[in-house]
Amino acid sequence: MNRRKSSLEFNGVDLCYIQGAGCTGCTVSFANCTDPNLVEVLQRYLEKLVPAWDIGLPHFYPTVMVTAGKQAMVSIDAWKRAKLRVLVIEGAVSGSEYCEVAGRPFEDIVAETAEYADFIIAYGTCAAYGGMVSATPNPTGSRGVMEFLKERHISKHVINLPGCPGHPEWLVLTLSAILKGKLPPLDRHGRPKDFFGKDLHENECPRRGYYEAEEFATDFGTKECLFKLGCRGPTTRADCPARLWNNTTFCVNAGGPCIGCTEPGFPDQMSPFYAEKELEPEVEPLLTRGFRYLSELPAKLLDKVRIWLSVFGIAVFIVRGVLKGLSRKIEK
Amino acid sequence: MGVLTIDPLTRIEGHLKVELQVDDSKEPFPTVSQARCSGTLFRGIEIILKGRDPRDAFYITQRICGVCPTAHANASIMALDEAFGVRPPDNAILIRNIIQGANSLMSHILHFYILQGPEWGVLANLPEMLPPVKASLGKHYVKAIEMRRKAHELLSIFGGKMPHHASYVPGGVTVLLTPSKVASAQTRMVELKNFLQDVMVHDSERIVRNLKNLGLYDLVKTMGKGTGNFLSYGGFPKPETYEDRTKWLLKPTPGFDEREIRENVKYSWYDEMWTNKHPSERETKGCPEKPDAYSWITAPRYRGEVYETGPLARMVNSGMYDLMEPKGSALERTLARAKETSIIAKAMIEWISDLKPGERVFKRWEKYPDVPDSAEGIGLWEAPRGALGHWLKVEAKKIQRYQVVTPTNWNASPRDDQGRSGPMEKALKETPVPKVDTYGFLAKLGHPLAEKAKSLGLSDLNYWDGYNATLPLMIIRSFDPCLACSVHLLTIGKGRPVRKLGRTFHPVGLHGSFEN
Repeated sequence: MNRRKSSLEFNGVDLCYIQGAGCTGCTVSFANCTDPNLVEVLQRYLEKLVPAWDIGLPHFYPTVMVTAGKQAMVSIDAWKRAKLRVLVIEGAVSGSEYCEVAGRPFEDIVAETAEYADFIIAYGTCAAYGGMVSATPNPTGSRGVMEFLKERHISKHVINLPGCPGHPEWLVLTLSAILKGKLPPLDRHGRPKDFFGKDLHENECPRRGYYEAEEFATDFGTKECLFKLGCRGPTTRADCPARLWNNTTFCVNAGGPCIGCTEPGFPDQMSPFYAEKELEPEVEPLLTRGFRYLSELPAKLLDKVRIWLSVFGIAVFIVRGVLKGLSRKIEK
Repeated sequence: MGVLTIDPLTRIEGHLKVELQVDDSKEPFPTVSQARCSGTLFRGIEIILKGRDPRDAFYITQRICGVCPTAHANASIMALDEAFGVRPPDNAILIRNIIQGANSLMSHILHFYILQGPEWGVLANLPEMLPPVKASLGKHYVKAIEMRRKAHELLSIFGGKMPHHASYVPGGVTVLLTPSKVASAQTRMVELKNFLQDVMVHDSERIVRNLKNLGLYDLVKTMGKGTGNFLSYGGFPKPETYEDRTKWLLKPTPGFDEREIRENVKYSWYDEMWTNKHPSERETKGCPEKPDAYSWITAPRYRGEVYETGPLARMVNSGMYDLMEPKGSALERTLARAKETSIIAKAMIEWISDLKPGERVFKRWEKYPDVPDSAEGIGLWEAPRGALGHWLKVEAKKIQRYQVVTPTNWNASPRDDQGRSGPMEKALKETPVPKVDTYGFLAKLGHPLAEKAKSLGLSDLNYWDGYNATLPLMIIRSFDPCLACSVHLLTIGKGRPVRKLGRTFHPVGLHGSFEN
């Protein structure tokens, strides 16, 4: 994000979508987007590559691109010369021995493209935090993009859009924000607060009433709260109940306990998935806590001043009234 | 003798590299004399599964593949059912069918139009199947994107979300069945069925007709010949025939016996001590210095023979498809795929109307909610790409061993102990690899699209290193390879030391050179 650009200069973004140690699930999920659908996204959001064509195809996107082999890799070079370069990464970055693209370790491709990118989006939990691939014993030495860039001393911001898979609207809306030249505000795990600011209960999970009433399901295929069957809803930050998946529903609606797939600790912290497990409350590092305290201090002080001022005002009002009454009594 | 390397091979699932040895002396076009397929991503899901709660297998194995997670879900849940000793209620069997059916439809639509469609669109002169680069092109391509999304919507009504749905447990499913869910699934299914019958099956017929009219049919119909052996495990039971595979909608290979499967490793980097063993007996032990080996994919064989798997195999074994070529071809794999979608769609409507809202969808297993101390289970199922097997062993309430043999393991396998090539390598042999660009190639065939390809700036397409890779790409994509799960172990680069499970190897490289 070293260069901020105004959206008015461009028709759209230049997309390079690279795939590492993942399952293509995020791509399939991206193709599920509606309003706009995938074709509209490609037409509206992406820079038109060939002026004669009505559609802008991503510069590099192995699952849908027309070309293959050497020709496909040339597209990455074309992307490096484009105007508003957005890099979307799907899948974790595994050790150099375990993932190869065009005869080169995937690690090198990430490092190279990241240098050129104006915006980097890690789409899906694997790309954001390592996800399923990096689960114990992490046989391939996989990690998320943020961690990998830190290892290589590449100081670039990464927008994390976790989820297994990532929700298509999270990606489309983030692309829209980038088009407007704005970065969405991120939480301390690098996730946009608009999508990951609240947990499932705060986002009105339809079974929350049962939770409050402590009516818990003991069998599958029932309507009560799934907490005792392993639901991680109270500690998982995502807007699934409000946004819905595939326009229709989300895991808990189909009786499937939430497995916390948008959290950095997924899957090791959540496994075994079907066992009730109180997650320990997140402990914030001291330094960030200090920073947050300091940054929130003026507002807090102001609040206190306001409270005391109003208390003072009320007190003055009462005292004045009392004094007035007293003085009237004395006059009488 | 030239070498053509295709890496990355796009428009498939996963990371595949193919090396072709080309015989330049052949007329009118040089042809492939030898092919080598290697997967270039290893994730080690089976290693991750070890020591976990058996029920986690349903969630974790789904993450093997994002295009066909339901197939892994179904295979793992069948293995778990067997291990936990429980038979799911009728409703659950139907819901599992519907979930797999919807995903198969979505996968086939995706493959037919987006992954492989553009090539057939060019060759058979069907502008509807091309990407919508001009307003006049790509009507069906765009529609296909929408319809595959509808299939996922249908699925998520019962699955919660897709990809990676959330609604299976041993002994059934978790979704509370209501009439409104059934109704909204049925509406979407009718819409899907109309699209499949009116557009997709129709397009597959037009491919054949147009190829005949263009005089290309004779060239294409023998392209990508397989082995002629077709393997399927069977899929989509009815509740009343749940125990008998031979009565399921998609039938297994006649006389199928799971115990006859063997994994060969003579040309794979594994210890030869473990060659020719059943998946449930095998230990995965790397041996990267083996001189002849060139792949990390094992070579599974059934009754000692090379078998091809996929929609064509299923359709032939179920007696629903008559082969034009006895050994199949790239074209027939595509046609069989289209045919299968309409058969599954018809059955889907039946399954959805057979659902009984209000009746139970889950049955407790004997030790509920505890898991059994030790047990074994096998899950054999049909993924959109072919036959999929999971072998599970539970010891001390934890997964002790988990082995997965995927469809692409069969199709993209290297040579076996007898030196016979896998189906994909065999299909690539004798394929023309012209030394001209796509414009020149189409012009040489007298194809009317030649000029159009030139004007669209597509003449350079698939042309690099002096060879035109269009036909090999079509053949490889006709198998619908899914690489994510077929690779058990991997290393790249010659002589680069690799740390694997605490040991250091000095491998000879991912692919031995053609010279040796």
